[in-house]
Amino acid sequence: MISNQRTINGWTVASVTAETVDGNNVAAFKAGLAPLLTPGARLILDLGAVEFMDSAALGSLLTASRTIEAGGGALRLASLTPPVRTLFELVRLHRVFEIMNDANEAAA
Amino acid sequence: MTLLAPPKHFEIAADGANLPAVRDWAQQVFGARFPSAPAAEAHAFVLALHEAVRNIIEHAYDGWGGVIQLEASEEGRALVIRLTHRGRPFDGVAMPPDFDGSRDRGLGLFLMDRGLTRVRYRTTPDGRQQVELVKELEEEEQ
Repeated sequence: MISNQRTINGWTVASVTAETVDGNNVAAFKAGLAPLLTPGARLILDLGAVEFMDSAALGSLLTASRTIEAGGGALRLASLTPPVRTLFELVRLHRVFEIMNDANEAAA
Repeated sequence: MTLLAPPKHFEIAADGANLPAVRDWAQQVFGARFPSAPAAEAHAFVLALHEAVRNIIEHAYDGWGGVIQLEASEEGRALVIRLTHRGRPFDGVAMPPDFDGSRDRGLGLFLMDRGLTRVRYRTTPDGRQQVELVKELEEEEQ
């Protein structure tokens, strides 16, 4: 579910490959994220392939954000599709997460 | 009451695997009722219905199965969805806390609140549980 890891300017860029992230597969999503949440990690999560996320997915991203920030790292989100951006705006989390247009901008 | 082009009645097994079909149906009924609405409004409604059905699957049926009936109707200027089931009664306040890092109950309820005009929980005369989701748009461009 999370692949295509690469590094840009010291940031790890990981792409979410699932079209849907919701309560049905959030456990796999969390399992894929877990190894990336290391102390001091600077992680960019590319969501360009994700067309639908629900509250379960949002909850897992909030948990990931808290974990990575507690370890002195940072999490940025990139390439949100319109439905996913709508989700973040509905719950006003676009003001909580650092959201960039794409991975290159996020790593700049 | 005007008939909608998509099926007015829709019945699913209470299984998360059926949520994509629920979202497709929600998109269709919303588009039929509010054809000029912005895409973000439509998605907010789809999200709200997704969360409402997932609540029934997880809290009313506890994942053990059952059936959920979905019904759409136009009532005045509103699109009304009724979700009827034979699971345990619950409402947005009475649901037990279940946030364990994988699911944020508050976020799901907030999404329902944001995507809908109002939500009502009731018991039908024949003893079934029903969640009524009402969506109105401030300015309709029909």
